[in-house]
Amino acid sequence: MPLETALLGYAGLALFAAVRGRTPHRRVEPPFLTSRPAMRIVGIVLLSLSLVTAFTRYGPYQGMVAWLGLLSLSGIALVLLLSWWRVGAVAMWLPAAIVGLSLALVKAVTAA
Amino acid sequence: MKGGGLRQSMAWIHTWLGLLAGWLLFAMFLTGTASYFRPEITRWMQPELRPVAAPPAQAAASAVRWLQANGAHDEQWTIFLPDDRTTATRIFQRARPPADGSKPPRKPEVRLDPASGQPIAARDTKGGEHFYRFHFQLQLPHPWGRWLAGLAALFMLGAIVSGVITHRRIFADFFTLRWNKGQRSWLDAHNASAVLALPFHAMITYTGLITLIVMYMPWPIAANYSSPSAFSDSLSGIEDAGKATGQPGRLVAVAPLVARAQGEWGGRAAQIVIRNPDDSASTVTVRRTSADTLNARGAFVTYGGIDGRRIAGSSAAGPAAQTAGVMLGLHLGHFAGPALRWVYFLLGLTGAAMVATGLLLWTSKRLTIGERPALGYRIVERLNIGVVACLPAGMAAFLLANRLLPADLAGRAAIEVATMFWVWFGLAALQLARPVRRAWIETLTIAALAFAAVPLVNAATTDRGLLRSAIDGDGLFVAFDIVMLSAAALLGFAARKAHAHVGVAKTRAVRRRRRGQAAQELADAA
Amino acid sequence: MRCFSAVVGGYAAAAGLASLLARLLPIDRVEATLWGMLAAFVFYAALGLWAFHEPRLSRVTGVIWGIALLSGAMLFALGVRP
Repeated sequence: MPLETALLGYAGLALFAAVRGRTPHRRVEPPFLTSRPAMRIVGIVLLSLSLVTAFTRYGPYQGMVAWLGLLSLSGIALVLLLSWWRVGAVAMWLPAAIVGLSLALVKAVTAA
Repeated sequence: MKGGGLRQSMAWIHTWLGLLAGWLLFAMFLTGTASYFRPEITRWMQPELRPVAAPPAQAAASAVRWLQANGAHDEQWTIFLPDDRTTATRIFQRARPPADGSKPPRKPEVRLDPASGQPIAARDTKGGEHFYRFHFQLQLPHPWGRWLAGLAALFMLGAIVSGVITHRRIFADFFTLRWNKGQRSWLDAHNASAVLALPFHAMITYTGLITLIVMYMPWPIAANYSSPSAFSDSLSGIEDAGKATGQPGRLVAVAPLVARAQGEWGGRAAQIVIRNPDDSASTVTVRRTSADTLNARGAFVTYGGIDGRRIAGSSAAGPAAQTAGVMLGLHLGHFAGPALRWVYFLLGLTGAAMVATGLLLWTSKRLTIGERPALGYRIVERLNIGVVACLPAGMAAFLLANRLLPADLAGRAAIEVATMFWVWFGLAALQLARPVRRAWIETLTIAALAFAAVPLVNAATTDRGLLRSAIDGDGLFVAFDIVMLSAAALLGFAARKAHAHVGVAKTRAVRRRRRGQAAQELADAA
Repeated sequence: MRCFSAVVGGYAAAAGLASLLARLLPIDRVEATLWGMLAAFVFYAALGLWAFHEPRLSRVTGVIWGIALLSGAMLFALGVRP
């Protein structure tokens, strides 16, 4: 399963969701990241990493398809989770990123 | 008209395109989504079969052996070789037209066990093919179903474009989903499912139109070619098939040709077409699988049937041909391995959810409490139930019928299909006798129970129940049962939500009326 | 009339434009035909949506049927690609 792509995508999207919270009482602060520019930058980095993992697994063409598809599903999972438990859904960015990164690393190491 | 004007007119179009095509689109999304597992559904529907996979060359040899015994004088044989997902060889024969020029009778499809080369002995069923065909033919006589499906897809395309123009704002807001807030919730859910999977929706709609483009839009062909067949020939690159000479000829062994073709591509062979198999001018065309490339149009090689000489091969496709092939591949999803296939499946369900929430949004926006709703409103309301809740029940009934009808019943494949439509339309008719809220709850509950019954009935009527399959490590049957139970859970959850809604609806209606006209208009604009 | 123009007229106009594109693109015949076919539904969707956006019905019918007739006439004059 291309789980690392989905998890990194989730983490990135969760940070963007946190940036998006426009009215003060609805804003949720993700752990370890307090400034909005930081959230944005880390979010972009995570989404790019997610794209890279899809490319390395499927090649550029199928990789693009896979990335968009998995990102859509991660987004839907995030929306469902947000509607259920706002704080937790955003806080999940960290475990998702860590697990996603380690899976990607394991894959890179075993491939090399 | 600028700005707000454009938004308003597009909102209007979005609403009406979505409403008119919505029910059809929901059915197409749902059956199309199931079609990503077409071979798997077929295998589930023939549980007595446990075929062993065979390499393409062996399957080709066994198929030709059977054909030479059962149709040596045919004009053309088309053989679909098995792969890891389909474990049967499928054969289509075209008889040579008789001397008087009349049309020869059509020969039925034959499915062979690739190892033994004998016809498969299993219950007669359409299998996953039924959902696949319904997805774009809608069980209507040819060509009306395809035209109607095309029109629905066109409406979808218009709805997507107008939806994007109308709701530019939702791109900022699609992370929001609020439950149990009536219209607000439906809007949120519609936004989230539409925006998050927008690349999929747009892709699947446009590529869907492209799959039947030669039928929908033949005019560019007419502008460039004097006959449509000249276009299809030059597109496929297949030389003129060559007429039969009338001299008898002996076909070479096909298995080595398959092996040679596979060596040339470094990929699996998927299909063999043999023309004039008993003639001295016979040809053997081997086509490559598209299961490992985005482009759905596989390469091919043609050999002489007498000497096995390589006659022709596909040339490199131009950019337009490649684009068309990739669009086809993206729609069919044959390239997708197991993981990506599940991604496709889930995205397809998202599409169905988007259509369904859009339809429900239409009714909840126009909900008026106290006065008798207009006839049009009541029709929409009832059709929503009749499609969104009753179609899944019909699909489950199709699967149940497969297990409950006797395996040797004559015409059982057709009865299975009929069961789906009787249950679907029958339930849709029966719910008219119930109040709307009750009808939602009851039809959803029936659909949930029907899906929950599938694993039970499967366990009772076959030796491939969930437990047994899990012990045997039979991934397909385990996954099938899990999907059935998930569908049951999802529909049950929906039924529960519909039930909880009955209580809140009344208090909310009072509140809504107090909010006054201005607030209502604001909500409508959103 | 608006619906008829959008659905039927839009189809005719889109078919005309797509065929014209296929006929006039100075590239290989198969390729030109395919590009025309692939683009056809972009034309159709754009024309159909515009037909409902434009408030003046006379303009809608005029433009859509005008495109259909004009492109049809041009195709007829050009004939099948030699």
